[in-house]
Amino acid sequence: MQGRLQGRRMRKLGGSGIRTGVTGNQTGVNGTQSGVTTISVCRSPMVTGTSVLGLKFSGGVMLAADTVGSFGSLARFRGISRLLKVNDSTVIGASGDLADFQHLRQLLKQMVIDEELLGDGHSYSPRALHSWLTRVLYNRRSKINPLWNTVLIAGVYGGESFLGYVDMLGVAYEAPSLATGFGAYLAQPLLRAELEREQDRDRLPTREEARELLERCLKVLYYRDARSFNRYEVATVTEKGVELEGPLTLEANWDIAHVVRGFE
Amino acid sequence: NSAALESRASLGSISWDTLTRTRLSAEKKVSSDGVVLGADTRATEGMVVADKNCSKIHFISPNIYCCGAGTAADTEMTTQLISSNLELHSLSTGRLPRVVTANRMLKQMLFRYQGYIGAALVLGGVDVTGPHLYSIHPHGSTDKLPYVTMGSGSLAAMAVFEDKYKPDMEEEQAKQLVRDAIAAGIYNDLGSGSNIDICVISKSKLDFLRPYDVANRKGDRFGRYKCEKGTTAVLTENVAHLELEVVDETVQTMDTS
Repeated sequence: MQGRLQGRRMRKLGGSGIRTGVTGNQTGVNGTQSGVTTISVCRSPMVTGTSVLGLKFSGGVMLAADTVGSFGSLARFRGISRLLKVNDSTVIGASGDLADFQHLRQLLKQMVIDEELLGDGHSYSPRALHSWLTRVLYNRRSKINPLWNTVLIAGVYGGESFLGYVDMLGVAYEAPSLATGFGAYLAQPLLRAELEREQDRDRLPTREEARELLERCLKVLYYRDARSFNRYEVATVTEKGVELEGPLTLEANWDIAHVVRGFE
Repeated sequence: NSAALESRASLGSISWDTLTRTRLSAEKKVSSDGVVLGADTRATEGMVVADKNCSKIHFISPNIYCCGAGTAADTEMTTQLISSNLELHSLSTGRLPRVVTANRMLKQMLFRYQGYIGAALVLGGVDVTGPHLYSIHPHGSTDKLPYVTMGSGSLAAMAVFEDKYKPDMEEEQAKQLVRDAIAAGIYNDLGSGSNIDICVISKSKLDFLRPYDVANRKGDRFGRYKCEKGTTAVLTENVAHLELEVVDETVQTMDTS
C-alpha cells in the first residue's frame, strides 16, 4: 500500500500497523479530498526494544532491561539504553518503538529543565510522571496515532516506593512486580512466585535478592525470547537516589546441547 | 490457534465457537531413571470453563503416558487411537512398546492431517532403552528434550523449568519442579487452572497421582441458608384425598436377555 506525503497531517503508511481512521483515499487517484482534514495513521513499530522488568524490594525499586534495539528479527543496535533517569527520584524503562521512546525522552528532558528553572524545590514525583505519561499515551491512542511504547515507571518519593506501568493504549496500573512484552509471559510468573511465597507473603525481597531474581528472569528471557540479548542494564532507586548499572553481560548455560540429539 | 478458529464463520452445522479446548500447561521432565509428567485440570470453551477437573494425562500403554493440550476431542481421540494400535503392535512384536514407536505413530497421523487435528502432546515413558520424553506439535513435528511444555500456560511453565532445571534430578525434586511449573501456569495463565495432576513413570513403578496438588479449593460457605421447619407458622391445615379408581392394569415385560 502506497501513501502520498501530502500536507503535514498525512504520514506514510507502513507495514502491519492498524490502518483505521484513514478517511482519505489510498489508491493514488488525484481526486479532491473535500472536508477531510485529519488523516492520522497508526504506524507500526520499526526499531523495537523487548521486555522491561520491574520489582519492588525493601528499600526501593529496581528496573532491568536489555540493551538491544531490534529491527524485526535483526539485532540492529546492540548498545541502546532503554532505561532513563528522569530525576533523582524516578527512572523509566521503555519497550516498543525506540523512536517514540526517544521522543518521550526529549519531552521529559525539557520538562525536567523547566522544573529546575522554576527552582521552587519541588520535583516531579514518580506518581506524577506516571499520571502524566498515562494522559499523554491515552490521548495519543484516542487520536489513533499512538506512541508505540510500554513504559515502566519506578521511583521512591516521600519514603514510599512506586512501580507503575503504562502502555500504548493508556492502560495503567501499579503492582509490586511488573514486566512488559514477553516478560509478562516468562518473567512475571517467576517474579510473582517469589513475591507470593506462602511463608513470607508480606515481606518484600532484599536488594540483593531482588537483583538476583531480576538477573535470573533476564536469563530466562534470553533463552526463550527470540528478540532478546545477553547484555543488560539495571537501575536501582532508593531514598538515596538513582543508580544505573550497565551494560552487564549474562552468562547463559548451554550444557543442554550435550543431551539433545535429533528430534526422535 | 484458537483465535484463528474463532474468527472463522460457522461452517455448515458446526459452530467453531463451541469447540472445547484444553489450554493447559502439560509438562514433563526426565529424571535420572524416569519421567515425570504434569498437567493442570481446566478445560475451556471460549472464555468459559467447561470442565473444572478434567484429566489431561492420557494412557498410551502401561509404560507410556501422554499429556494433551489443544482441542480436547483431538487429544482424547488421537491418544486413544494410538494406544489401541500400540497395544496390537505390542502383541504382534511380543515386546513392551517403546516410546519412540508411539511418537512415530502420533506424528505420522498428525502430519497426514496437516495441522487440522489440534493436538499438542507431551509424550513420556520408560522402555527397554530407558526414559524418553517427546513434544509433538499439531502439524506433526517432534522434539526430543529433557524438559518440555505445551499449551497456553507453556511459557509460564517453561520459565520455571529454565530457571530451576538441573540434569539428573531425584524423583521428589522432579515432582516438586513439575508441580511448581504447572502452578506457574495455573496462577498466571487464564487458560489453565484448578488442580495439578502428576504421573511418574519409572522402570520399577508407575504413580498416577490425581490430584497431586489441589491448588484451588472451592470456598467453604460460612452459613446455611436453609429455613428450618417451623420458620413459617402453620395456621390451618386441610388435607383432601384424591378419589382415584383403578381402570386398567397391564404388565409389560422388559427384554433383559
